[in-house]
Amino acid sequence: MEFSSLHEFFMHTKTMTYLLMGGILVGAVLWWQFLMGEKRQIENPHQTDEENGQGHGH
Amino acid sequence: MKRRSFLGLMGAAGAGLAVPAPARAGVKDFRGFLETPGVLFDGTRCIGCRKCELACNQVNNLPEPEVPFDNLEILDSRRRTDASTFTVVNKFETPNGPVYRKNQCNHCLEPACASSCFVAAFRKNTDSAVDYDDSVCVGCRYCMIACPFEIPTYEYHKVLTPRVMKCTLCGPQMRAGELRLPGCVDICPVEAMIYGPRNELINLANRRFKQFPGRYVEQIYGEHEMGGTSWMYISGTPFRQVGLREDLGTKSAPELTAGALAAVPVVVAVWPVLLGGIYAINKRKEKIAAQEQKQAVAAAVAKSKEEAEEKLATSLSKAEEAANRRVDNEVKKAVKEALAKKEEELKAADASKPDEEEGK
Amino acid sequence: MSTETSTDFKSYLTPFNIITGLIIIAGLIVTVIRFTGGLAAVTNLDDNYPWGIWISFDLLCGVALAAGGYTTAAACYVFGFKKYQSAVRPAVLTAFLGYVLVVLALHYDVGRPWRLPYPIFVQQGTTSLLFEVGLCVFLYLTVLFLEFLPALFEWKGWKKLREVLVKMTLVLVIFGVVLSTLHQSSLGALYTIAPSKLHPLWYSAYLPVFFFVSSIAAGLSMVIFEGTLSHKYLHRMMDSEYNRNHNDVILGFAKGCSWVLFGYFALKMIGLTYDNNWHYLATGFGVWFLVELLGFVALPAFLFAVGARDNNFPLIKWTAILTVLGIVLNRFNVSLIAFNYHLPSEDRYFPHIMEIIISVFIVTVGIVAFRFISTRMPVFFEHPDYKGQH
Ligand code: SF4
Ligand code: SF4
Ligand code: SF4
Repeated sequence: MEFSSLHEFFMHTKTMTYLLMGGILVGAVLWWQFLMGEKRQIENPHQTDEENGQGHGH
Repeated sequence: MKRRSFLGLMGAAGAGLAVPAPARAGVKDFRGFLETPGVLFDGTRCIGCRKCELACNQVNNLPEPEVPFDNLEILDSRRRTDASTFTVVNKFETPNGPVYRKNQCNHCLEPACASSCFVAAFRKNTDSAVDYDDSVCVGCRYCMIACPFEIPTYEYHKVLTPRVMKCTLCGPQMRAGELRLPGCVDICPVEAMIYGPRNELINLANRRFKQFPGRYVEQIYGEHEMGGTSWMYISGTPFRQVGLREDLGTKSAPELTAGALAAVPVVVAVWPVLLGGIYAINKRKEKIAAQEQKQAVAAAVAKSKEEAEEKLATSLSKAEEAANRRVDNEVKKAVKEALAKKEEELKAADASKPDEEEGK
Repeated sequence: MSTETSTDFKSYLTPFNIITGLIIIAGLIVTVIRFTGGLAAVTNLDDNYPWGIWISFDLLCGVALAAGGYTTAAACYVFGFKKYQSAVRPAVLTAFLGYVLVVLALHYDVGRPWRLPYPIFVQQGTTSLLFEVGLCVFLYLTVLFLEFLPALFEWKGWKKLREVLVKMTLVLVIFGVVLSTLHQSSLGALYTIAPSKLHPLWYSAYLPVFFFVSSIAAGLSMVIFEGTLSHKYLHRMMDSEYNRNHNDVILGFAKGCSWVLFGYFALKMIGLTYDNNWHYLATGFGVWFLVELLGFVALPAFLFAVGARDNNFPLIKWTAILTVLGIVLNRFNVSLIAFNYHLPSEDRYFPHIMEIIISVFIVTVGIVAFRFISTRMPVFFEHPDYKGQH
């Protein structure tokens, strides 16, 4: 694309950036859910093996 | 490294810095309006006749002014553009007598008004004119804040259709073929203004500097100011004496706001990451704390349960013992009682026997 | 409230109501003049001063002082200061009303208010910082509305809808912080385009950072200030939960505010050094700059620290007022006092009385709306049905 001034150039890039920003915000929410969605117990180094003790020795 | 070549390098670098480089590293350079039309105003020629004001008023169908255009006394007061005046000529007293300068929109190469408008109502046309579209203008007047030359004005008195008003470079009329030259340029009796390709105007100005040594301040106002303008000025007195600010700098409006605008997407991308991270860290801490608390509670509960059980067991066994003892006693007592009863019966039987025998 | 409806007319004639009533009547009259006579009929705005106190006070100060919403919400939900929970609702309500009033004020200020949606929906001037402000204010208003809705739903008893919104709290809070950062800073950045008009002591490439950081201080101080005000006048609406945390919140916010003001002071010094503006300090504007910097930034930072260390609540309250005044002063300096500093004094702007009336009118409308809402909806107290579940 041809731009005859810095202003025109910015008008184009800023418009694109604003669209991208919208995408980023939506993406951030979805990614967060994907990342945090699985309900796993947080691994706790101080945890005593109480619930995890089962499963062997049957 | 040898000293001479080092110095040579330095010299080369220095020279490179001194000459305005056409394309600075990392900076995009756009030169779309360097050869499009512009106007050169020569302050040494202007005689302050206000004919340009008249012409501008007529070609733009502006309302008749309170003070007629042939009244030159008004030149004694400092005026600026307003909603019904796109251009004004001001008189400046200098050591060498009065000097006149015409003021109007400079049709910047990087217009601050266009950069600042949040509905993009301004557009720099291919004929250099910075056009304004009142069909979208909201009337926020940020363009007036932004313009370094204090040009745009507003129709404050209008209720429903106030517009921003400023010189159009007669763009609409010239595109429609009604005018061949901007009205003000055309009417000037002393050719104080010349309309033509901007690069040629710059050449012309430099020729005049050479032709009349000592007559001009050898500088073209508008060549670099605020990124350059299509309407430029040359003058015989320092520009600040004719109301042109020399402290504007060469940075254009888009460059001035570039930093702030560049930070916007960064905030959008980085803030959620940071804040989400902080949130997650806090949540994790909380969860661990909660778990630890739960475990502590569970442990405490288990402990007290054990103790209780133990206590129960001992007390139970004790109770049993006691119960057993009691049972024993009862039994013993019962047996004893039973035995005693038996004995009594026997004794009684013994005693009654002889009676029976006697009775027989 | 049922008792209120049965009271007769006379009991409404409290001094508060009389003054409010008079202001509102005056405001309505000026409103009519504004929209029948144009801007020229009610303002002293001219071509040199396109922006007057409706921008300086209603927009710049209004937005800065409504920053309590995002700072409190962020402190509570993101940074994990759970004990500030009870301060979130009043702060969010204030912020929401604040932004509504800002938008209302803009309807008076712009030439064609019915076109206010244009920058978002018709033609986007994306190179403009004002576009950024407009877009963010529009989005943030939506976010604040959604953040406050649970209170409304609790009042109405719509549990299902409330559930949905409460689940979105974190997302809303983070969006709110992003949008606030952007438009608070962009309000300062508006002036970066006009280096030739703003006095060098106030002009800086750091203007957006100044505005953002000072908005945090403004927000925290407003929460403290409103907290003490509401405590006095709306005490009957507060539950023990709110009251128990009230002192904690005030102490925490005083500490936070002192720390932020320290950072703001540091930034201002960086600004001075970066542009090498020290020599201006010896001029008249320099003295004024020092008054702002020392009297309204450094001093409150110090007083907040002392107040928080000594548990001195009256001192904290007065310092909050000082800080708020300082931010207001700063916004006025940037947008009016140091703006167009090069113009001769006869060309300078002074607000028209009707401009002031409209500004006072708008603040009054805000106070009335705040009272109306906080005496009905669960703002200062937890709704009995939803205790402890936020
Ligand atoms: S002089 Fe002012 S109004 Fe004219 S183009 Fe430049 S910024 Fe715009
Ligand atoms: S007043 Fe009109 S032209 Fe000027 S910036 Fe605002 S919307 Fe754009
Ligand atoms: S170019 Fe046209 S609009 Fe501009 S001052 Fe001259 S006559 Fe007026």
